Parts: sequence; C-alpha cells; structure tokens
Amino acid sequence: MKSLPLLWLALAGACGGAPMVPGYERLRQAGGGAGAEAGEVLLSELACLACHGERPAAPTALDWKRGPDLSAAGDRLRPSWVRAWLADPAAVSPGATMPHLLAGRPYEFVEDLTQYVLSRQSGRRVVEQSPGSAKDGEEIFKSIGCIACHRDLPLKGLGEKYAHGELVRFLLQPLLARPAGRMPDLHTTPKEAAHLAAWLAPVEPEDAKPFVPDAASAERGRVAFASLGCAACHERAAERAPVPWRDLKGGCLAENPAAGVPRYGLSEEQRTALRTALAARGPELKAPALEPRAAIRRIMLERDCFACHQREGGGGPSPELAPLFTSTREDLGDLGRFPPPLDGAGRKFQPAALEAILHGKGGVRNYMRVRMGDFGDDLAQRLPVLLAAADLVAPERPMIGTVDPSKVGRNEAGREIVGTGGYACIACHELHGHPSLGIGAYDLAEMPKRLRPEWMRDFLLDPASYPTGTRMPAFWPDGKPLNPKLPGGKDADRQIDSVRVYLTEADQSIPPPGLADEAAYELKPADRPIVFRTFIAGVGTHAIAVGFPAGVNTAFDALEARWALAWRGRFLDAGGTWNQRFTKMEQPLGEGVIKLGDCGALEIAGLPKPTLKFRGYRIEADGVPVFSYGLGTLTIEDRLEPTDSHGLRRKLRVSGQTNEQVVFTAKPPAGVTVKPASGTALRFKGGVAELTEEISW
Amino acid sequence: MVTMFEWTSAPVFGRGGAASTRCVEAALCEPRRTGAASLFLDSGPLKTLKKLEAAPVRLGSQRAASTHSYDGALALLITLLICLSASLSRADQPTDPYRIISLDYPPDVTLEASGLARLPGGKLAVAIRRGEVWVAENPYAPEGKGVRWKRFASGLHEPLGLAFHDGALYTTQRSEVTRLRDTNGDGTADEYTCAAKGWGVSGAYHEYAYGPKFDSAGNMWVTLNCTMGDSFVPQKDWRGFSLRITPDGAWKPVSGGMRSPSGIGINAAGDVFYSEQQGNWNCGGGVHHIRQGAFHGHQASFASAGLPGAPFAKPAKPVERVPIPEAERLMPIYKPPAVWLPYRKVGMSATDLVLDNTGGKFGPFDGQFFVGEFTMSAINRVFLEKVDGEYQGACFNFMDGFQCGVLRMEFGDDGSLFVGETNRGWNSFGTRSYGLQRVLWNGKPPFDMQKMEALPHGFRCTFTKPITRAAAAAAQWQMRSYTYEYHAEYGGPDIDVQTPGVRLVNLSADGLAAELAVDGLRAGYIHELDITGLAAADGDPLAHPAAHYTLNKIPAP
Repeated sequence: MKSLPLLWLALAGACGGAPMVPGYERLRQAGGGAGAEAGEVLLSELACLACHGERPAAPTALDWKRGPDLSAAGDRLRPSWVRAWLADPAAVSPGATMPHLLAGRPYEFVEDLTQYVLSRQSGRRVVEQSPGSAKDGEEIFKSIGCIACHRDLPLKGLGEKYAHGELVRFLLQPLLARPAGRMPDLHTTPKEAAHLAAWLAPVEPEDAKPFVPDAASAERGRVAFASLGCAACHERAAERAPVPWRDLKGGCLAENPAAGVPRYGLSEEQRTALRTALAARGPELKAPALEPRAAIRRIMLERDCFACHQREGGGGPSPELAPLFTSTREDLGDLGRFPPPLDGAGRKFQPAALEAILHGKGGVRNYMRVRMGDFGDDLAQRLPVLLAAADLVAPERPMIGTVDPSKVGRNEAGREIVGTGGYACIACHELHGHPSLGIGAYDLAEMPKRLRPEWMRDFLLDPASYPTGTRMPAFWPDGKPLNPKLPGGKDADRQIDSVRVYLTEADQSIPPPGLADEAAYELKPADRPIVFRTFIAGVGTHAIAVGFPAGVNTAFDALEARWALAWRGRFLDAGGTWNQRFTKMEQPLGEGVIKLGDCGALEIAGLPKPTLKFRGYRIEADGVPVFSYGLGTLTIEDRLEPTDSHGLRRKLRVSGQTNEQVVFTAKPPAGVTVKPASGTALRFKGGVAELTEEISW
Repeated sequence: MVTMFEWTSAPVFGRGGAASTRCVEAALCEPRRTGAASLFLDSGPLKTLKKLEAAPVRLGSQRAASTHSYDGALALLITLLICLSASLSRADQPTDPYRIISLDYPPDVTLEASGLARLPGGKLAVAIRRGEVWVAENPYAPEGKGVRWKRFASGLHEPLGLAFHDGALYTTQRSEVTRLRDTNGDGTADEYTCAAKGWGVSGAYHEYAYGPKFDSAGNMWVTLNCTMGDSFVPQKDWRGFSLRITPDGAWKPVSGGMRSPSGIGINAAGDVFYSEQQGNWNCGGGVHHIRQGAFHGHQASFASAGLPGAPFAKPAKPVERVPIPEAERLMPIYKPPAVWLPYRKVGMSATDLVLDNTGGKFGPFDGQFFVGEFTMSAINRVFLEKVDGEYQGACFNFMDGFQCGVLRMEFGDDGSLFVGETNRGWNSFGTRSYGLQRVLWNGKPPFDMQKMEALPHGFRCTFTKPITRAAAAAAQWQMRSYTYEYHAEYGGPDIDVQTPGVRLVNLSADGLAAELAVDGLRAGYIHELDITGLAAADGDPLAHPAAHYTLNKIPAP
C-alpha cells in the first residue's frame, strides 16, 4: 500500500521554468514581453484558445497551435516517459508548453491516461532503421536549420521519450505527429534522420519493468482524456462553446492555480501579457481584427520564421547563429547562405509557387545548407493569401505584351541575351540543369515558374534595390538596355520579356551560346604525348599526367616525386580543370588503372625511405617528358613510356657522387609484374648508373 | 600672392537650401562614374543625369554671387552631359586621350590572359588559364591587326602570372613556380624547372597562386589565395600568405591574412604591394603594403600562424565586429590597406597592380600604380605617399569600357599598356569572355587629379592641368569620411559616416595644386572628395570627379 502523499500529485509543479514560446521570447527580448501582442502569441501557442476561443472561420484568420496528434502515440512513446510527463511536464522538459493538468488529482489519473495513450497504436509494422553516426547528426543539426529554432528549446531525454526507432520515424514526417506545423518537415533523408537520432538520443534506456496493458484502466483514461480537456488541444474534434474568462487574476492566470485548473507555470510577465490581451478581447474573446501585415508578423512569430527570415526590418539569423548558416558555394556570399528576406514576397511569388515553398518544395538555392521546411497545409494555404493582401501593389505597370502584343518577348531573342554574347546570365546562373560557367547561382529556368512576371521585370531593371539583388548587375539601368545591339534594341521591357519567354521554354529550347557550343574537352594525344597538370584522384593536387598516342597513360606526383598511376585507353577530360572554378579531382577516362607508387623506387641501402625532391621535367625531342628529382646528393632522371605490348618501360638515370649502395626496390600490387626484381643494386660507372624497368599488367 | 577664398561644404544657392543639401548628400553617397561601369552602381546613369540637369540652376543662381561666366558654365555642363550620356564608354570618344585597341589572336586559342611578360625583341608572352604560354611576335601591330602567335609552353596548371627574368620565363601554377626555358632554340619550352613549391594545395576552390614578381634583388614574390569552401585534402599551409623566394628557391612567408591577392606590384622604392578583393573580412578592396609580419585581415590565415616560420602568431583574442581603426588598435598585427578601394566606387574586384614606370610615356601618372578591375572591366589608379613611415594614399577611377574583366597589365616598350582579360568564374562587363587589349595614349594630358596628398589639416590636390580660381569657386567640393566594420561576413556598408566641411585655402600660382582645409580629419578613415563641375583652364571637365584618400595617419604639423 502506497503512502498517501504519493497517491496525490503535488500541487506545486517542479521548477521547470515558464513555458518556452519562441515568438514570445523574441518579443520579450525586444521589451514587449508584457504587451497585448505577446499575450496573443501566448493565447495561440499555449493553446489557451482551445478552451477559450472558437475555431477561426475565415481561411486567413489566425489559428492556434493544436497539440500533437496522439492517435499513434502508443507506437511512438515509452510508457515510463508518458507517466513522468503526465505527472509534471515541465519537470521532464523545462519550458514545456503543455500545462500540468493533473496537479492535485489522484495519481490514478496518470496511470489511466498512460494506459489510454499507450493503447492508441496504429498497428503498423516496426521497421528496423539503419544506424546513424552521432558526429554526422550534430553536423546536420547545426547546418540544416534545426538549431535556428532549437537554440532556446533544449532537446534532452529524447531517448527516454521515443520508443526504439520512433525518433527517426518522427524526424522523417514530423507533421504526422505534430500537425500544428511549428516543427517543420525539413525533408531529411532516412540516413540523415538516423544520424540526427544518433546524436539527439544517444541512449535508449530500457524500461525497468515491461508495460502491461490494462484495458479497464485505459478505458478510464479515455474518459479522463475527454473530461480533463486533453482532447480540446489534441483532437479539436468537438465544436464547443468557448469557456469565457471571468477573472483575470484567477483560473489559469492565478499565481497558484487551484487543483483541477491547468498549470502552465507562467511567469509574472507572461501572465501580464495574457491579461493585457484578454482585456483587449473582452469577455466574449472576440479576436482582434488584424491587418494583413500584422497577421503575417503574428504568423512569423508563432512559427519562428524570424529565426531565419527578415521581414520589415526584424528577424534573421542572430549574430551567434549566423556562422552556422553556410553555403556550399562560399563566394555567393551571404546571399548563398542566409534565407532570403520576406519583404515583398507576396508580390514576388506566384501563389502556387509560394504554397509549394511553404511546403518546403521547389527551392532553388540548392547551395544553401539551411533548408526551408514544410510547415503544413494550414500555413501553406493561409500565408500566401495574407502576403498577397499585404504586398501586392495596384495597379502594376503592365507587361509589354499586354500593352503591345507585337512586342511580346521572343524565345530566340532571349536565348541570345542570356548567352555569353549577350548579358551572359549563364556566367553566374545555372540554366535548366546546366552548371553555370561561374559561381553557380540558382537555376534561371525555375524563375518564370516561381516569380510574378511584373516582379521579375522590375527586379531586373533595378536589382540593387531588392535585398536579394545586391550581387546582381543591373543590365538595364534606369530602363535602358546596357547593350542596345541585342535583340529588343533600346527597349528594356522587350529584352526582359524575351528573357522571360526563353526561360519559360528553356526545357524545350536550344541552350544559349556559351552552353551550346561548349565542346567536349577530352584530351586526345595524336602524334605527340600530352603533358597535363591538374588534380587527379589517386595522385593528388600535384599531378602531372602524360597521355601517349599509343593509348597508355601515366601520372606523376610532383609532391612526392614518384609515379602514381597508369591506365590504358582514353586519357583525361580537361573540362573540369579548364571550366570549373572548383577544380575537381579528375578521373582517368580509360581502363586498367594501376597504382605505380610501389612499382619501383630507388633507395639508399640501409637507410629509411628517402624524401625525394622534385626538380621539374624536360621534354625530349620525341615529346616524352623526363622527370628529374633529387635523392640526397644524387639526381635521378626518370623517363616512362609505353611498350609495344601496352605495358611501360622506364629508364632511370642516376648521376652524382655517393659512397652508399643505391638499390631498386619494388612491391608491385597484385596483377602487376615488374622487372628487374626488387633488391637490384645499381652499378655506377663514371658517376652515372642506369637501370631499365619493365612494367606490365 | 594668392588670395584666400573659401566656401562652405553645404551649398546655399538661393532658396530651397534643405532640398539642395539633400540632393548633394545623395550625390555624395552615389559614386559618379562615366561609362558602363557605373551601371553596376546602386544608381544608374539616368539618376546621375538628373542630378546634373539640376545643376545649371544652381550654377545659374551662383552667377549673381560670383564672376563666373554663365555661358561658360552652361557650356561646361552641356559638355558634361554629352560625355555622360552620349556613350557607354569613355574610350569610344575621339577626344579621349586614352584609347583601347583589341589584339588579334588565333580563333582556336582560348586566350584567357592570366599573365603578361614583355620579352626582348619587341615580343610579348601571354600565359592563359588553360595552362599555356603564347608569344606574340609583333604585339605592337597597328590596331592589333595581324599579330603573329606561337605557342611556347603547355600543360601548366592554371598559371596566374608571368615574368621574364635572366633569360627565362617564370610562371606560378597552382602548386609551384616554374621556370620555362627553350634550350634548343626552336621557340618552344623544353625545360620546365620547379623554381619553388611546398605550400598547401588542398584542392578547395579559389586556391589560386599568383605571381611571380621579381624585385631588384632577384627575389620572387608570390601570393596565395586563401582557401574557400570544402576541400578533399586538409593541407592548407600558408594559404593567404605572401612568399618571398630567393634565387636559390628557398622561400619564407612574409605576411598573411590575404583573401584574394591576385595582383602584386613593386613601386619605384622597391616596396611590395598586393591588391585585395572585397569579401569576407574585407568590406572593400584595397592595396596593401606587404612587409614582414603584417596580417592583412583575413583570419583564415591563423590556421598557419602556428607553423615554424610564421610571420605572426595568432592573437590571444582575435578581434571582430569593430570599426577598422579599432581593429587596428586592438590587434596590432592587423595592418589595414595602404589604400582602400571603396566597393563599387573604385571597383568590385581588384586584380593586377602595375607600376607606371614609363617616364611619362603613358601620361602624367609616372610612379603610380594602376589597378586592374575584374567585374567592372576597368582600370583604376592609386597614388601612394609615406606618412609617419607608413604608406597611404588615394585612389581614382582611370578608365573603363574594356571588353572583359581585367586580370593582367603590362607596359610595353613604347609605354602603351597591354591588358589581359578573362571573366571565367565570375561575370564582368563587356562583350567578350577573354582577350588581350592595349591602351594607347595620344600624348594629350587628361584633366584629372594627378595626386592627393594628406596635410595636417586637410589635403593638397594636384591636377594635371591648371585651374583658375574662378573655376575652383564655381565647382562644388564635398567631403565624406567613413570606415568599414572589420568582420567575417562578406562585405559590408560604409559606417560612421560624416560629411566634414571643406574649404579651399590655397591655389598654387601655377594653378595646379589646390590646398583644402577639412574640418575634422579622422585618422583611420577613408576621406572621399567629390568635385562637381570643375573645369580646367582650357575648358576640359574633370574626367573623374571623385578621389578616395585612406587617411591611416594624419601628418604631424
């Protein structure tokens, strides 16, 4: 028999701190923690309106944050965690926004509700997840944007919370469990989710005793779930009359709420904010009418959009977090790493594009490591309407094709303008999957699908006046084409419209000059060997490749002064070296690639492997390079060329004075034969020794 | 004796003083450049034009108060307007003292000129980014037509410099300095000797190596771009450092903290400089003095500061997010540029530094540096002086309208300037993606500010042609001082802006040197002087109305 005090849940909750609402914190830090706006944010994010408000009727009206969907909570959660959570949410997770509902009630409620929650299972099959790496998980967490919101929302005890494999499942589809969309779906891959889980939940403790389902207890829990008000937040099924407020100092807003009243652990400032907001609403809880701009700001506060985006001068990555916003293309600068400001977004985007973007789809900044997530249907349907209402200007200056249909843009004219003979847009921008010739800014073929034509035109006319256009040159300054010799002549609108038309049809058009005429850059030795210096995989950053007309190719590593690779067939493609700024490691084009590193070296007998000093090469009359390097006081000249049987012959000439014995050593890899045998000593005659090696494979 | 005369910096022309002041302020914030380059600026030519259209009213109003001829002023303004609006390129104008011609080259050569070296016998060697060196036999061919070319070397890894020294060509590839020699006299290099190597090459993009430049002692100078982005191997030693390579091939790092040091120049005194580009840790471009132990600002270099032979140690507390003068004070190894090249106003991406050592064959700028400009396809100009033992000075626009981004420059035997161009990787103004051009001077001096020197209480501006007191009085002289924040982010705005008052206190008897008194010079700040409506005694309008002086130190009285 348990002693009495344990059977009743303590009235005073653990000191878990006040509920943590990012949008509220943002206002509080700006000095507005007690104001009506802060109170409205709390009314929504603490789901006060679940009991005290009505569901909004207009699609553009603000909705409050509903609780997680518990219909499959039994799959997801560990019994021990559910018990602890119900017994005092803030003690389990400081800053929890779910109120403590059971304070001062008999402990049986905890057990019955736990039974009920755990009974709610989907019956789906458990799929074993691939293991993840915590190190990679931390990297992902800090780069894709998780940390932008979770800077203040500490993530602890997730291993204790989620059943085995369920954290991964949650991360893959967070909107299933949390339909309110405050936690976006960042479209993590299964592998990424596994890495994240390995870092977020390194320990998965087993429950001390197995959970035994108890149907009677679960049924009692089901009844309590409805009667205590859990369902109001978690299911929002029942249309119910709002509970009016009677006393701004009592109820949930009392400093010490009575038993049976939800305990949020509100700070004094939060209570003041709520009182201010409620007083403004009046006892009928009539929602204040908000202008579109204010409604957008409210939404951005509630979803913490400001963690990444600016609008109307507020928000954006904080100085502490800014270094974590990175790009794979660093010299795009901040435009490549920071999510764009949302000023004017309602005028910029076509509504369908905006809806897709809010679902985290159709992004074009693929070099930006932070991701735009899917914030759920609710936001994707409401925010575009609000943005359009706030940002659209009327009347727009009409597009040229509307004014004079004969002047509508022409595909072929746009092609010329976009290409290298025109304004060379492709010098910086990708185009329909073609890499750009330069910095790799976003794909232009996506622009007409996303952007409103009027915005696109005005942006191109004066890019610097838009926050995302600061690195974009003005090709039509003050409405005048920089190059009136291009199609469209002196008519900027006409040139721009041609660009729009061409980009719209880019998928079915000829690539522009500069992409279309990009020849194959394969190097084909014809009558003489080709020497080509670049980065080569398996050789390194000091590679000097030699391609022979006979169809055998070699590569020398000038860093360590040794032969590194040989292969047969095609030589190399110079395209990466010649055209890409990020010089990739080139790959031999041919086949039969072998490593030459251990296929023969000269050493001083009895001494450790020497450091060879690269001195350069000379081209002999037949075009074959002879490499020169130093071994102590000796100079080695090294000529390697194909044999008639598609092997290699190497002539080594050693000159200089030495009293030591110089030995040829070789440990060729499997499948490679070298002659002479390892251990052959060189014989010097007049300060010169020569040795010929045959390599076949 | 020179009569003293003065005016205030805020023009008061009749009524509407507030409006005209605002107009002037806006004008000051917006650089006025003629030609295509200005199209990159926040405000385009049309706006500039509008401002100038407003100017006759002011000049007209002033006529009553001065002896200046209204007709003369109007004519001047009309000239200015024509200059601004008639053409995209100054160089197209028949009256321009400088003119650009393009050199022919074989159609199958991708002449992305990345190194230029004058050779004996009136030849010119040109390195190209695709790893070859070509020799132009007759680069001075009239109008660039009929130039004969021969390939001298190939197989190099993106050479970004070329020098001729002691009978051989030297070039810097990604991973080494290479000496190229033709030992059998067939006109093609057959000896590729490693002259220096050993710096880190991780393969990350942007790891360019530039040079070499030879000093009078026969040392080679090489600069290494800092590493950006991911790399496949971690070796990044000495990225962002300058190296001095002695004739025996031994080298040591001299200074570090470089971002994109694509130009190296040595002045008449033998001091070595490099050009820097705007980006991380650099809110503007700059011309830096390379000297032992200098840290030029980009903190990626701290990765090598612990290596043996490092020219400086990583500070215990690296400084960030403070104004430049403050960063210099708090972190003594940090040496800001001798001359800032304000972003957009004086280029967006400085490249080569070439010393005008033509003895006047290229105009009145002997001893000054010309600075290449990639994005805006232009050339700017830098005047340097020593104050309190350190270099500082002013920069000016020089010319624009090149066909492509300017990467390399080399003076020819006749004092004309060869200009090597490429825009691969970034965009640039112009009509071509690469090429070789030549700038010719017609022997008539342009009307420019030849130099701007710091004085204890102001500046002395020396012009290339005399001005009259009346013309000086008719012009507006405006000053704006500001600095940048020292921070890791990519670029940044002017901060701490002031518009100190300027008074003309003296004009030399020959009419060439105007002495300005400035209220409140600030050490460590850029002082931008904008002169509107100044004409030389012969009627020529001032070709480039802005001068940007980096006042690292104020001279002692």
